[in-house]
Amino acid sequence: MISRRHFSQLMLSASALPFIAPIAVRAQQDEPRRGGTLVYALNQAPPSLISLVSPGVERGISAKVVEGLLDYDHDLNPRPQLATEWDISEDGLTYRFKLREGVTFHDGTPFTSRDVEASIRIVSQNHSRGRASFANLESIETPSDHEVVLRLSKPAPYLLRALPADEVPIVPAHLFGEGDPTGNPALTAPVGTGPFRFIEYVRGSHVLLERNEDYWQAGKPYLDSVIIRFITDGAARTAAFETGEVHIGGGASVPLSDLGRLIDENPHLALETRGQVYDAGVNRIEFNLENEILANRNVRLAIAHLIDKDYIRDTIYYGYGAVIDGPFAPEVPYYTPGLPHYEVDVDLANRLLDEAGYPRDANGVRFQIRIDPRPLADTDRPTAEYLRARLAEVGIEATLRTQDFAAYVNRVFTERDFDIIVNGITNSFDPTIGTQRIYWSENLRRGVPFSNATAYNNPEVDRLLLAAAVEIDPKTRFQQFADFQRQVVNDLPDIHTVSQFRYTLYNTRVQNHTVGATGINGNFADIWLAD
Amino acid sequence: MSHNPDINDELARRALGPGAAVANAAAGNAEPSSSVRRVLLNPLVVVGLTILSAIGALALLAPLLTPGDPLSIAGPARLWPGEIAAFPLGTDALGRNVLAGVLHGARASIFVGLSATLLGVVIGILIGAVAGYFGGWVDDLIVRFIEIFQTIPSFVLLVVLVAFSGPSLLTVILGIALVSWDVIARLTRSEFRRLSAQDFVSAARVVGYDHSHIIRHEILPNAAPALIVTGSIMVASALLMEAALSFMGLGDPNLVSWGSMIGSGRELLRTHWYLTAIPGGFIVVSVLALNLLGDGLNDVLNPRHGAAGQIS
Repeated sequence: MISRRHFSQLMLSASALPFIAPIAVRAQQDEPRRGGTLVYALNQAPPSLISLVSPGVERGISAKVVEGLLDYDHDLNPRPQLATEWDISEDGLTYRFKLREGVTFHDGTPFTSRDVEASIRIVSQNHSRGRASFANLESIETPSDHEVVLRLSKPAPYLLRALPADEVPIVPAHLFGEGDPTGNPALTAPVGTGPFRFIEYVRGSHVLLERNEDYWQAGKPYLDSVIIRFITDGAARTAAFETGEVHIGGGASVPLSDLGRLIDENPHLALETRGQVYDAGVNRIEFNLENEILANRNVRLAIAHLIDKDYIRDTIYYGYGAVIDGPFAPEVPYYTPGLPHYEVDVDLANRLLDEAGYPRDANGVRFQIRIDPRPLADTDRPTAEYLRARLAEVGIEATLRTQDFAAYVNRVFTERDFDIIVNGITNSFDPTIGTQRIYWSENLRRGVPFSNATAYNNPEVDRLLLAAAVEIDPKTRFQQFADFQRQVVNDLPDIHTVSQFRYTLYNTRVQNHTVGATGINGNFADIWLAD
Repeated sequence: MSHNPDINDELARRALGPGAAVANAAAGNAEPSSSVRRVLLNPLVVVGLTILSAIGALALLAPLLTPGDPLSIAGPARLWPGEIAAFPLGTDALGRNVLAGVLHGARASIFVGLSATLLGVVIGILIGAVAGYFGGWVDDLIVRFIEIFQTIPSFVLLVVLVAFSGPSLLTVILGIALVSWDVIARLTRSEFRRLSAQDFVSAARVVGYDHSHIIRHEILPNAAPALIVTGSIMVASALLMEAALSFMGLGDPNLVSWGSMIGSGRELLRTHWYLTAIPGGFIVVSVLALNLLGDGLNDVLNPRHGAAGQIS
């Protein structure tokens, strides 16, 4: 049997194809079949069912009912959905979309450019990520019923990737005409153009969706209905997959400690690691650079030389995820391999700390420090415990502090009363949207969660980030982000450990579940159930 | 959590027990060595004490048996007991020595159990003694105050207290003491009410002793047997509460305790059950020993049982 560590390396590298091919070939021998009900598990029940005003758990549901302008292949190349053609002016300031004709919403009203205009307006004003994506949006024009033009004040090289159904859902304008969209009843009883229509939402239990008979893609969807179940307990989700009660789940369906056993023991369960680009993220150890000791780069360098990322990946993450040296996960388009790597070297760490002016005292202690692990993830506290054990080896006495999530966010981002945090961030579909917030000096803003917590301030990094944000030449932009990554890894405001391992766990009866970059957050139009 | 009501019931039952005979016995200056001998001859007490001494010895010897920091990463992660001779009880999810964890964990668990109980008993006796001795509006006021604590589910209150003030050894001890003093206060109050009506107390008043002297030297020694029995059960309860807190991730994160070991082993229950079973076994045995001790003391000191009646 292939070891799990080996397995995850395979899945993450380009050579994954030969390994997963046997499953794929067997699956695609048959023609898609109509019928059946898919049971899809989500870890939490979201406050709304479509991601129009917030990018939370609802992204797992939204696209089944409400579609977007574009869809993407696994390399993030756009494909038509509600937009059939698009064109970007050479200066990168004008985006023209031709819309699909003859499409109707589930309530019978025809889909037109006014719906696109209303939807983008709502997203750009309310959706936290949408505000960033459309920050340069100057005006939206609707020259005809099936044509939309976006005019920007500055180029936004990430904009074309910001338009999948689960980021910018296109809702009917007549339901979102006036007033505050955040309280609109259509958020929990959505109407869209998607392959499934909304039937019911029983809070705390499930959402029921049924096949849209008038879907614009003739013959699709294949399923009769989809039941989305909310199962908050990890062990209960594990059991539901084992019994076949649930067919598919995304994100982190079962605890990593259960995953290997589940796949080994159940021939009808399998893993899919593609389709996570929009959620890819990295786990990090962040230093408070306002701390006098940690402001010294040699101290941070010493700590970097203590951390065995392979140990963290193999032991804390059970072999899942990829060891990383920089701020981007390998799935992210601007990921640069070959960044500076700090080898484990305890002697060097001791020497660096001596040189930095922190000798051991009579008890062998150099200084004391506090570590606050993020309380959400199962892996952050063990990482903090590992870090404490490693620091103890060179005479740094670390104390762990635990608290609930609200207290953690308040302590780190408002009071700034911390030394080291164990944290994680999502890269999202573009570094300008997902990563700039962490390293841009102007984003050191008290009270803003998951902003620049380290108080990192490097004018060169600021310059690279701001230039890349408006750079329309892909090669130049790639170079800017490569330089940015190298600079950050060199400055060590934080240490990147392991990419967040996200996956789709599915019953092998489920076919065609991951057909593009949005993975299980896609619209399910192609899914069919084998025997 | 479910242990609390049971123990409270048990305490309430016992609170009614140690009565007049004991008081008279002490008042009559019964030979103290004879009651100590009776206690030590009780088989339940012997078994309980033997187990507790063994665990106590392991805890004291922990730095010698397993030197170094029990939280350090000692070897490969998730080794089964006996898989490598150096780790007779295996290693946990991060590669920490389970034997070192259990031994050092005994120190933390016993320390928390004893100090939280001691603090709870001191608070309880102070408040209960004032209420029971003085009576009247002071008593009314204090009884209402005790009732507030009795009506709030104690473990829920404990979780809120510890989560609010930030988990650390000190807050865990203070928290457990704050949710368990009310039992002792109630018991002390009832003992004091009963005893202060006795002739020997009246005699002390006539002689001219002040309130403090009467409370400390006349009434308290006579109330002691009941309080000792209750206290021994409270240690078991405090130990369980600490374990439950640590299990929920609300223990001191810088300290290994049996509860924290169970909490971090829980995720691996299906594949590495020993990580939960080993510290769990130590908790079961300790709580059992403390209960045996409490039962034995109750047998000897409670006048409603035949043997105890003969103390006087």
